[in-house]
Amino acid sequence: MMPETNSSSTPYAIEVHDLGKRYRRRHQMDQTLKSTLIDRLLRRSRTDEFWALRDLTFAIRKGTTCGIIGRNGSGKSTLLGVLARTITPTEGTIEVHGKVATLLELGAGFHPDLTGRENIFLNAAILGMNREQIAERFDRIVAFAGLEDFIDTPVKHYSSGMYVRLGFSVAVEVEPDILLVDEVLAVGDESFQRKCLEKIKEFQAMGRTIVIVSHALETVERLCDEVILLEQGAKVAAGGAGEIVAEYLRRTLGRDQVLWVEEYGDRSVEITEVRLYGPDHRRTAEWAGGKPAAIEIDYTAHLPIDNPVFGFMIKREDDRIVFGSNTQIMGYSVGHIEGTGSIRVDLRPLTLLEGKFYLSLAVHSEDHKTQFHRQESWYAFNVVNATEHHGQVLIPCTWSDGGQPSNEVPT
Amino acid sequence: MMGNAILREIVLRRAMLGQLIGRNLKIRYKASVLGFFWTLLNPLLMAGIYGLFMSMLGRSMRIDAIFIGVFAWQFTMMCIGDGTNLVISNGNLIRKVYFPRIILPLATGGANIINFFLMLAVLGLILVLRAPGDAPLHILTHLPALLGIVVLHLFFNLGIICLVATANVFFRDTEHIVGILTTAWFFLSPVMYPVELVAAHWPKALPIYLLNPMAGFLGVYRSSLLPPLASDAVATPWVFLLPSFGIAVLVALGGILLFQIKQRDFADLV
Repeated sequence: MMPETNSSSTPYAIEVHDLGKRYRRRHQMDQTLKSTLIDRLLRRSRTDEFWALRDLTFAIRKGTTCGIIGRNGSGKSTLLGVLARTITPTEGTIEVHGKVATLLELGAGFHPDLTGRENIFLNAAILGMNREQIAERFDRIVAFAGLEDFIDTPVKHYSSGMYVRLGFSVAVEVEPDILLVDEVLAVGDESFQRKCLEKIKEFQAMGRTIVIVSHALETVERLCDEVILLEQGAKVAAGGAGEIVAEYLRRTLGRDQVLWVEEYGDRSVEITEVRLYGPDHRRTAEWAGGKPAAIEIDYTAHLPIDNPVFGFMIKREDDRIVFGSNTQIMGYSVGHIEGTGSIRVDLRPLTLLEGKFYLSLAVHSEDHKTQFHRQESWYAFNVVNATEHHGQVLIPCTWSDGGQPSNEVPT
Repeated sequence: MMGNAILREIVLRRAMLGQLIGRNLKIRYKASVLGFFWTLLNPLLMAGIYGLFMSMLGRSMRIDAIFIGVFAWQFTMMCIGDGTNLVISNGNLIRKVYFPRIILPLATGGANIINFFLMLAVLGLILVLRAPGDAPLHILTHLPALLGIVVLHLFFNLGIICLVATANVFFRDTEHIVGILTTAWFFLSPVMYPVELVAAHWPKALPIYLLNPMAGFLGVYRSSLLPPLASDAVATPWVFLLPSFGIAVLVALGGILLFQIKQRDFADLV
């Protein structure tokens, strides 16, 4: 059912067809022979079934990094468990080409009474290394974890950070073809997280396949070539990282809100793609508050149009307008357009510091009479404070001696 | 076919098996200062108490025979004790790491057989000290039979480990049920009394009584470790024990098969 082969004839590392996983929800407290017998006797049934994954089909190319995102309970972890072969699927097939290692079991199998040294041997063997491999890599593992001085101390005396570091150091030494990562980057202190990221980039550089499950959208965007969006156990979208993360934000942030989300217009000019850029001109769905940002809009003018007006508006979740502006207000003339083109607006800097927002875009005629294309609250994005200031917005300010206003230009 | 694939995986994962056996032994012996000595002291004490008790009833057996009975019984009991929570206590591992699950019962059996060999060595020493004349030669000449029965006993215990470990995943009150069943099993096995007692009181029930694998194991342990005495016949002719060996193999195969079938659901339930 789940052959693990080293076949190099296929361009895919993982192929999944019609995968489904059904769980029978049982009441934990009633999992006894006594209650089972009583239930049988009274012909009661207390199991209800649900599908954690259903009709899932996808393939991941060798050497690529694929992200799996979705809300809690969307089936991400189940999927990773199935790929790791710890969870048996109810239906469908999975083909995994290559050796798999999971970074989701940091320290799984560590025994508190055993020393760091003993636990390295134990954990490495559990993850599939043989004795010679462990002996050869032992020093590297200890050095990477930075635990030279504590290696003969029972791990029960370790801090949680040391524990995770040791687990990670062992796991990355398995040298798999396919690496499964589950929220690992959310644990440990900052310097350890950096180490994790470096290691993952190292894996990418070596042409290994990586599957990442994470809530850290920024990380997913930065690391992944492709992203699969899961909702209630089904694949609802798949594609480029920026695009799918934006789709995810639109779906999750817009849900259950009183927000007006609509798209209309005669489409003489059509907005075909929208890209959000953060600092360093990186494409993102998560803006760095207080840093430069930009919006780039690709459009197609199906008719020749003179001086259309492009505009954007930012709203909060409660539908309140935070800011809105357009080319006309700013005195920028778009001129004559026909066919495809693009237009860009720079926010220098983005003075929002924190929160979830919705971007509306519009293109209409110079006299406002014809709406060509309007997307109300169509794009969701997050702003994460990238400054040391506090609050929701960045207010430019400078400090100086009392009694005289500062001449410095505020930054 | 399926069996071959599993065997190949076990061979591939022998490092893990070795490490888990090591872990099990280290934890057992690290847990108390006396370590191995405790696992030895317990059966010796129990054997003394049983001997005293049986002699009060006037049904005494040689204390050496009771030693053997208690040591062999404890081998199975320790396997059951470790086996009951095997899957549950390794839940984190099972949910997160792929490996052939059968390695867990194998590691439990492995740690316990090493412990049992150490205990047998001590037992052999006791027996030799008590009968320096006959014992060494008798034990040496019966070594093949002894080894054979240890292997069968281990195989049987492996099946029992698989059985209770699997049962406990589905029914969390397995421990209590097993507790009741093993108490009954203890009294239905010739651990502290000779088989002759059953033969004398319920001769018709004897063939059924001897289907008990434990009766079979104890019969061979005793006859290969104890030089026969004219006064008490501790040896049951082996031919009567053959059916119990068959039962032992069936229990072992049944337990392992059950474990192999049900292991795919473990990650969902632990």
